Amino acid sequence: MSRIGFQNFLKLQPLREAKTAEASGKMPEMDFFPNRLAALRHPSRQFVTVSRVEALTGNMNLYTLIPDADKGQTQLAPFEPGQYISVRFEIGEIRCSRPYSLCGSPSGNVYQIAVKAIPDGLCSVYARDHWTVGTRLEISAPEGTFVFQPLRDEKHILAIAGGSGITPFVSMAMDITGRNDGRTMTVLYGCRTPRDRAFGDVLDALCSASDGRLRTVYVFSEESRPGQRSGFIDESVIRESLQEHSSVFVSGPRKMIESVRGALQKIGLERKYTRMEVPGEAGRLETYPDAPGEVPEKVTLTVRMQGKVYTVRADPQATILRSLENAGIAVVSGCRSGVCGFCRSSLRSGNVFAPNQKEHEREADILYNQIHLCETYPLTDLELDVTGYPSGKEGKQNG
Amino acid sequence: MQETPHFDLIVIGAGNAGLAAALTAAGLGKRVLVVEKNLYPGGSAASFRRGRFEFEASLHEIACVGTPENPGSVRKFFQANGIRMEFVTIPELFRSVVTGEDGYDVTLPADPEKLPEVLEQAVPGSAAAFKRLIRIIQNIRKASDYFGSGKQNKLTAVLKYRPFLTASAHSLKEVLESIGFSPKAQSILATYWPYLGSAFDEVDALNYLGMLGGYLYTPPAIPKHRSFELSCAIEHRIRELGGEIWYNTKVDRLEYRNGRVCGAWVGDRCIWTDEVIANVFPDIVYSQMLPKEAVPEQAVKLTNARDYSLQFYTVYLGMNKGVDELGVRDYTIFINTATDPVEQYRRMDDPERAPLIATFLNCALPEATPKGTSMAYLTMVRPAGAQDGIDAEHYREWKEELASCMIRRTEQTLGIEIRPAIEEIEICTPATFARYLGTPYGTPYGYLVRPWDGMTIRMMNRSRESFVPGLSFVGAHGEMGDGYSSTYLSGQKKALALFGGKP
Repeated sequence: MSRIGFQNFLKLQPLREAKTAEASGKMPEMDFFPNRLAALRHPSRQFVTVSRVEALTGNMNLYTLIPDADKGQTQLAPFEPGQYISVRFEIGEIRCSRPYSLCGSPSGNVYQIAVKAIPDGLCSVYARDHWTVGTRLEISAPEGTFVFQPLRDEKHILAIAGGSGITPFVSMAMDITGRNDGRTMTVLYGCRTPRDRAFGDVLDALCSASDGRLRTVYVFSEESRPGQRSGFIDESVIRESLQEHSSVFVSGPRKMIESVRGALQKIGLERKYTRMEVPGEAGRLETYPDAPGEVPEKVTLTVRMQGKVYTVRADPQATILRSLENAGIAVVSGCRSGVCGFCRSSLRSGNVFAPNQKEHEREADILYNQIHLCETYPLTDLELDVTGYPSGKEGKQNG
Repeated sequence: MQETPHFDLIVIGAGNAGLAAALTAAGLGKRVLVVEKNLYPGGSAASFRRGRFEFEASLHEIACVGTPENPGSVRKFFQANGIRMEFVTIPELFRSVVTGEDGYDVTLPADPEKLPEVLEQAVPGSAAAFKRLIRIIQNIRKASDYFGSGKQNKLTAVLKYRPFLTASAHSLKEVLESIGFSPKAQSILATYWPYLGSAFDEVDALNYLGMLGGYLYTPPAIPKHRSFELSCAIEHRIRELGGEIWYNTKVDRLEYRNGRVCGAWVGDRCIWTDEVIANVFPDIVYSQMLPKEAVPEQAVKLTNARDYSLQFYTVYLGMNKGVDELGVRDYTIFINTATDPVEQYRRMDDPERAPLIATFLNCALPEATPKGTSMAYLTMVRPAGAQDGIDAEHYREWKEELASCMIRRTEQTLGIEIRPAIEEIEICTPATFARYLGTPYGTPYGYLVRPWDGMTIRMMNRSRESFVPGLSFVGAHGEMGDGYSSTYLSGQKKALALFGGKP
């Protein structure tokens, strides 16, 4: 230990003082490339204006959204084909949001979403009746992992779509046909009749210009004509479209996803080769076969959100998220299908039914009574800590 | 409208240190509010799900956990706060593979008895030097208790804790050299340097040997359900103790009156408090949350004199093959292309030669993924600011290329096939870390540790460098540096110092 000793320590303090003295006294700019990139790609929210509304077939409208310069938005966050944005709604008392897949080209400073008006639908009907050119919207950054990943996926994508589930694939098709990197895609598109083929013309045009890189196969469930496929997308239809090496992406209504999942299992395709888009808003409690049969008609939810306390009377048949939104409490949500976890909340007391907890939640969340509000139903009175949006109008407050 | 109460403490940022500070203060009966801009607690101590995998975001292994019989400071911290936590002990420190001419492949056990045998086998003649090293490590561990007790005098310090003081005063390189280790043995023992982020010839030996001792004497461990379990446990306990946690909430600025921070602005609300603890880099708070007059020039100069520590690139892989099938036995594998740790540090500039850390979680925790599958994280460390000339437009292609390089290098070095087994993949770059951590360059660490800015000297300047009354800092940028054990203890210590009470 001859060369070193504790005496050296005495030199360090003067060195520290000298280093500090010679440094600049100017307040640092704090501008770093990765942080700038993060802010560009993942803004906490974005403001857009509807710049165009086009009617598509099958009760769908296509909305083009551009940055709302009046709100200071000049640049939209880039997205990957297959991602979605969450759009916030204020409908009367209700504060809620809905996820919509981005269905336009990933290049350019615009987003496109297609909204299908469902009879009795809350947001979809509101959008149809109220969104016009100039309508201002607050939306999330692009979210979701239903995207092609070259290090994981095969060069051939088999995209299986049911109805309005076609939207993410329109963006993917534009992306694939716009590159020349050896990727190919087959779109297997199930809809009721040829008239319900939303984006059919767009896909056909991309197809014919794609040099064989994009192929479409339509399957009509309510019409059968010679030369057309009819029925549902089943095992045999899928087998015909599978190539030796394919990654399968599936997007559509819950029922359709379940039946395709079954077919893929029969075919024996490993999980590595199958991706399912999150299937949309959870239904009523009674739609789950393993849901408890007897539930109270109403329960009381006591909710703490960023320092405020609300009490809400809720119907156990509806998800906790819906009940809170209906009471005007703007709770953060993302995919609304249990997966993304944005609506993660602490359950302090009470019992709930959380059907897909094991598949979607983190292990520690389950251990510590954290729930995803969008896929959880109250069975008794509950006390919860939830997370709200940082600004925007808040609902009525009790207590 | 309910009155917002006056808090005893507002913690900005629910990272490990922020959570630990809030938990400690809440445990002392204080009214505590934690404000976090993300949707989850934990900062780096997080996990995320993809398909049937739940990935660990950052943790390799925690030092100072120990066993229930021989608890280390981290286990004691959880116990003292009424949190029962099950840890899984890791039997090895690491496997270190160095490719190239004078490369080696050595696995060090986390056992002070067995380690010298392994080292002797790898580098004959190291035993004597190792004995000297153990004496220094033991002295450091005793000294930490002594200096932590608050009652010390200079004479005892110099007489009894000379090795501790020497380790504070010299770099790891200087100390390992001086006690007679050959370059190869130095290289093996210094393998952990990426955990501290500073070069072999810059990091103070105290900092490094303290960590090595922490791993050696209180074996490294991980929680059963990823590091997020620790974050959830603390979150739960804070709320149980009456503390509040607001997510998705950003503190825009601090209220500064009569020479003191006394509140935090959240949107159009000012929330009043006696103390603010920021689990945020001081330069961010100084430049964005405080009025100019609140920040002395000396404070600005100190942050400007410092550089940021490493930035991370991590590829998370869920694989449809088990570790046996892949042919992997080791939990943590350090991969380097040069023996000299100083050269390893330099090579961070080149993704083809930069240090890589491959972690195969199933080797420590077989049940972490479904049967027949496994998980791996490949982490590359690089200096803050390394950008590779990438622009926002080509970000995606760039990160895929980088991930591909990391996977290929791991495959080649370990002689295994990863790529065909990939079922889920997520690639995180400094931009991803910046998104979730908000730190400069997304560094999960703090400021680069330098001889003039080592652990002991930071501690000695503690009161001199508390520049703004009512405002304290905790986190990886603090005096104890980065790492799970350091950040938890950093938060705990600060809360105890502010509100009294014993650890």
